[in-house]
Amino acid sequence: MRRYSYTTMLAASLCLALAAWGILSIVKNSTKEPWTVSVADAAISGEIGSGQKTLAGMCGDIQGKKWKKKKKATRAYFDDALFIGDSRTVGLSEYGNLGKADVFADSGMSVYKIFDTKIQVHSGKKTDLESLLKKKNYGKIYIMLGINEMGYSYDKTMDKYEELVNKVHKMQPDALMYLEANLHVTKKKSKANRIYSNKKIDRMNQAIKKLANDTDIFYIDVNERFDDGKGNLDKKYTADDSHPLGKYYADWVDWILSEAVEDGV
Amino acid sequence: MIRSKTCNSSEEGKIMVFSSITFIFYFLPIFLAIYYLIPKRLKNVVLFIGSLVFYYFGVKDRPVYVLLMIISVFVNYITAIQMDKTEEKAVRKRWLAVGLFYNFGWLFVFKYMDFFSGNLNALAGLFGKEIQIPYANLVLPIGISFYTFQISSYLIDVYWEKIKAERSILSLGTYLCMFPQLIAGPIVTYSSVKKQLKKRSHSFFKLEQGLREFTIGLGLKVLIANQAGSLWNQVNAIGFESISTPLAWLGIWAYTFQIYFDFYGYSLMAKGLGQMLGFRFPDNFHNPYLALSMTDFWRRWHITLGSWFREYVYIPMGGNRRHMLINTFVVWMLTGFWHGASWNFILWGFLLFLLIITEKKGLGKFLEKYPAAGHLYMMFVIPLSWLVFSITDLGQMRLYLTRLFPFLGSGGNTVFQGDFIKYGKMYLISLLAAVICCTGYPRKLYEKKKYHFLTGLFLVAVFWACVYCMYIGMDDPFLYFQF
Repeated sequence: MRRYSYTTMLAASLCLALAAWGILSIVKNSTKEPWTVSVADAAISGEIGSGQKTLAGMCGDIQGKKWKKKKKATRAYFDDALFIGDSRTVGLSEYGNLGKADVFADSGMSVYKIFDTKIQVHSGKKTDLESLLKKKNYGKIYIMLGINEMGYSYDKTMDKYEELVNKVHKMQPDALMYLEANLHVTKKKSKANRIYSNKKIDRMNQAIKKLANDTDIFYIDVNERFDDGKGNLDKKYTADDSHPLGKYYADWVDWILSEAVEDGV
Repeated sequence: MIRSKTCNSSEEGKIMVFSSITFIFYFLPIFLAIYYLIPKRLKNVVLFIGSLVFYYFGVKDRPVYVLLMIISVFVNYITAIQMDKTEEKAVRKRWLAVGLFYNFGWLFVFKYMDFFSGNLNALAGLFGKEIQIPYANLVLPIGISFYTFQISSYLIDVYWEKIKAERSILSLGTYLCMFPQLIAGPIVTYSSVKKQLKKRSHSFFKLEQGLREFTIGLGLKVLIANQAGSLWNQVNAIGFESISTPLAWLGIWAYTFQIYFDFYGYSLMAKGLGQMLGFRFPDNFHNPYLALSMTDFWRRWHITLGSWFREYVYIPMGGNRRHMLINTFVVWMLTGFWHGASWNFILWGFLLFLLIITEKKGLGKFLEKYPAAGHLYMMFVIPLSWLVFSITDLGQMRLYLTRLFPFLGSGGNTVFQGDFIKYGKMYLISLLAAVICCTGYPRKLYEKKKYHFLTGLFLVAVFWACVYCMYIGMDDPFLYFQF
C-alpha cells in the first residue's frame, strides 16, 4: 500500500487555492463589479447616497386619501398582512402571535437575496417573494431588513432596499406598507463592533425613514419600545446583545399593533 | 442568529487562537520557517521568543501581562535554585513558600479577588455593616490558570528533590511559555519535558504527524464544537423561559458536545503543534463520554489536571491511606473552584464529590458490572453536571431545570411549539457527527487507513471546510479561555 503524505497533499491544495484566488482576482478586476464588500464603509460622512427621493412622486395617483394614524388594532388586523424580514421577523412569527399573517422571513435574509430566496410560507411548497405577491392581495405589508447587509456597501444596500420597496408597492398598490426600523444592538455590542454599531444602524434607519410618504408607506421604529434611553438596546431585553429574548417578542407584536394605521377617508 | 459575511475575524476579540486565519496562515508558517531553518542550539530561543509574540497577541490590550509572565519565569528560576543550594528543610520550605505565594498570589488577584470581595460585601450587608470593598475588575491574563499550575509543579518537584533546579533560564522559560500548551494545557510536569527541552529531533515524519493531529483537532473544534456551541447560544438567546422541554435537553446536549470538542480539539492542536516542534505531549482526553462512572470520567477528561491534583494535593494530604473522605472533598472543591470564581463552580465541584463518593461506596462496582446501566447513568449525569457548570446564575439554573423536568415547576408559556424540530433539523449533521466522534470508532478507523489516499483527501477537505467557516466568522472564542 502506498503511503500518501498529508503534508504533501495539503501543500498541493494550498498552491491550488493560491492559484485559484489569483485567477479569480484577475477575473474580478476585468469584469468590474458595481459593488464590493466594503467594511471601510465605516466612514459615516452623513451623506445618504443616491436615490433617496421619497416615493410619493413615483407612486402614481394616490387619490388624495387621508389616513388616520395610529390606532391600536386587534389581532384581526393581521389577517391580510404580510411580514418580510430576517431573523427578527422569524422571532416575531415564532414567539409572538402574528395571527393569520403570511411571513416571508429567514435568518440571514437581506435585500440582496430577497427575490432569489424561496421560503415555505405556511404549509405548502416553497415560494419566492414575487410569486407570493402575485398570488394574494395584501392589506398591509411589513418590511424589516438591513442588519445582515451591514458589511456591504451602504449605497448599494440602500439602492436595493428602495428597489424592494418600489417593486412591492407596484405589485401591491392597495396595500399599506410599514417600513420597520432595524433594532438597535446593546451598548456593549455597539462599542465592540465597528460593523454593527448603533450609529450605523441609525444611519440606515434614517435612510429608510426617508422612503416613507405618510400616505401609504409608513415608517415605524420599535427602538422606542426597547431602548435604554441612550440609543442602545436595553440589555435587560436580550441575552445575545442583538435579539430580544423569546418572551419579549409578544410585546414587540403588541407594539406593532399599536402602530397600526386605520383606513380613513 | 445573524449570519452575515463579515470579513475575517470580527472586531471583538482579535486574540490569536489556534483556530483562526491569523494563526494558521500568518503566525504558524512564519514561525515554523524560522524555527526549522535556525540551527538546533538556538531553536529554544526561537520557541521562547515566538511564544512571547504569540502571547502578546493574546493580551494585546494589556501587554504588561507578557511582562508578568517573564517575571514569573525569573522568580521561579531563582527560588528553585535557592532551594537547591541548601539541604536544610526549613530553608527550602521557605523558598518554596515564596515561590508558591508569588504564583498563586497573582492567580488569586486576577481570578478570585473580586469573588471574595463580593461575598464579603454581601456577608457584611447581612450583618448590617456597610463596608463595600471595591471591585478590581481585572481582565484575566489568558492561560494564567494553566501556567500557574505548570510552573508550581516545577517548584514543588524541585522541593521534593524529584528533579534538580534548572540552571538554564532559557530552558525554564521555554517550558513555561511554549505556545502550544501555554493557553490551555496540557499541563506538563517539568520532568516529562526536560529531556525534550535539551534534546529533541525534528523530521518530516514528525511534521506530518503534527499536521495530521492539528487538522483533526481543528476539525473537531470548528466543525463540531462551534456548531454545537451555536445551538447552545441560540437556546440562550431565546431565553430559558421560552424553550420547550425537548429543546432544553437538546440545548444541554449541545453544550455537552461543545465543551468536549472545544477542549479536546484544542488539546489535539496543541499536541500536533508540539509534534511539529519535536515534542511529545501527554494526551489530555481518552473518550471521556464512554466512561461508565464519574470516577472513570475524570481519569479520561482533562487528564493532566486530574494528575496535577492527585500528585500535588491528594497524595501529599494522605491519598487513600489517611482520611480519604476529606482528601477527596478538598480535591473536588478545588477542581470546581479552579474552573471559575463563582458559586456554581463550587456547587459543581461539590456535586462531583458526591457522585464520586457514592460510586466509591459501591455504585461504581455496579456500573462497571453492568455497562448498559453505566452508560445510561452517565447519559444523565454528564449533561446535568455541565448544566451546573455552564450557568453562573443560580436562578437561571433553577429555571433551566424546570424546563428539563417540567414537573419541577410551571412556566414555558412563551414557547414556540416545534422549536426543537427546527433546531434539530438545523444542527442534525453536527450533532450526529458529535455523537459518532464521542466513540472510539473514528480514531480506530483513521489509524487503520492512515496513509490511504482517501484519508489524506478527507483531511484536506476538513482543513478547507474549517478555513471557510473561520473566514465567514464562525469562530467562537474557546470556552476554556476564561481560565
